[in-house]
Amino acid sequence: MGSARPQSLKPDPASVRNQGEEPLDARDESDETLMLRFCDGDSRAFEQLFQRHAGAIQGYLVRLVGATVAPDLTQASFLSVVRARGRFDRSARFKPWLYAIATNAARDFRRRRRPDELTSSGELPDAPVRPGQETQADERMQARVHSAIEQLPENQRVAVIMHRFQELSFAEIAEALGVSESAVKVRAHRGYKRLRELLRGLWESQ
Amino acid sequence: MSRLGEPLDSTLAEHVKGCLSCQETLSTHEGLGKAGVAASASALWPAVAKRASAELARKPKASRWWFSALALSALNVLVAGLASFSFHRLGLNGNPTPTPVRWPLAGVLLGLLFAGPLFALAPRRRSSLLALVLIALSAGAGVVWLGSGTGPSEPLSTGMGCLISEVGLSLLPVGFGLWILSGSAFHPLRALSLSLCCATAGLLALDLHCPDGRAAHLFLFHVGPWILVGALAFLLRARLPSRTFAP
Repeated sequence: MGSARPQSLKPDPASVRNQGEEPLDARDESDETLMLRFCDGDSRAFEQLFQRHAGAIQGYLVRLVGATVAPDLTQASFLSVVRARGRFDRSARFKPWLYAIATNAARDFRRRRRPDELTSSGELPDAPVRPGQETQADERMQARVHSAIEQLPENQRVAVIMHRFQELSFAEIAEALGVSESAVKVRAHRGYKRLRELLRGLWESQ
Repeated sequence: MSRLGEPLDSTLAEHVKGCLSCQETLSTHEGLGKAGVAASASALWPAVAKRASAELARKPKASRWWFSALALSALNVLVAGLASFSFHRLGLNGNPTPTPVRWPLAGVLLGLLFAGPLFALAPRRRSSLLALVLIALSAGAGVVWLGSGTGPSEPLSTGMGCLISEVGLSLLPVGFGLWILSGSAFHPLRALSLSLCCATAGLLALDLHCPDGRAAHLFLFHVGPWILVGALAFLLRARLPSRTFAP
């Protein structure tokens, strides 16, 4: 077991300057190794995990609950990693666990908001895109895809977003959601089918 | 579906050519890729680092989840044991149910008290939660149906003492259980199963010592309050904020 004394997590000027870059010695370490190091008291490992996954988690939360609250929920998700590190199963994979946390944070947000504050899919209305979120396609397509995804039932929406946009495997999604892999495939298949109907003609016209 | 997003081998590619459903799924998958959102969260790091540092300074070493589950199990058994001892000292030893029926049922209730929290709080055993709820409810039904059917010739309303004991003995375990539950994301089955297990302390002590074995008494003053406490704890957990969102 490593030292129980945590190192400082105060923002390191070098790491802030090289945002998104990991120290050379951490690049080859798996998420699971880093998480185990963190559980054993190495707080630098947590910073590396944050740098690896925070952008993806925020992107996931933008799709689930909108851009307004996604940064707060991203923070809450990573603080949950810190506070609940004792609940991390040392034989499990880190990425599904982290996505399970982010999904739970989004669900909790929707559950606690008054219904009149949210759109039908549980987002804050008119969520503006924050600076720093680089769009890869034109805004019109984004809006239409976003609107179509909003219309999916939650279980299909989560499966499609995790699979298509976060590039998780079906096995990882199943682990994150605590359901069987075949159940995830059914949800994703139904989600893609419904999206095909909702977005008919969009890509043909591009 | 298994190979969606991966390069297709010749057999699958041949299948897709003749399958409209697969073609549609593939083209939707491909089209969605054009609408990706790339988010940068590095600006969040200073705030996360500050709060994480404070958290790590407060609690440098992570304690494994089963420490608190075991502590709850021990508390459950302690409360049931102390209640049982107190009832014995008060001369309440009148359960007339035959021993071959009474002790196996007591064994199931004791199992719920001790093993219940370990199963309910395990991060990766979410599939066992429904089974745990069903076992708990079956045990509750067993308390009513396996009762002796006999009792003192007093009106049912004298059973208020049992009701108060059941609720009072549940308070401490249920309170501790709620505190532990709020340390992870709200999960309805987990909250319900743990609440029922924690409220079992009073049920076990009453089942061993109460002289009234009439089904109406057992239902109204033993099992009814037990279900009520479990349901109230579940509703309370649904409203309590979560300290973390971990599964």
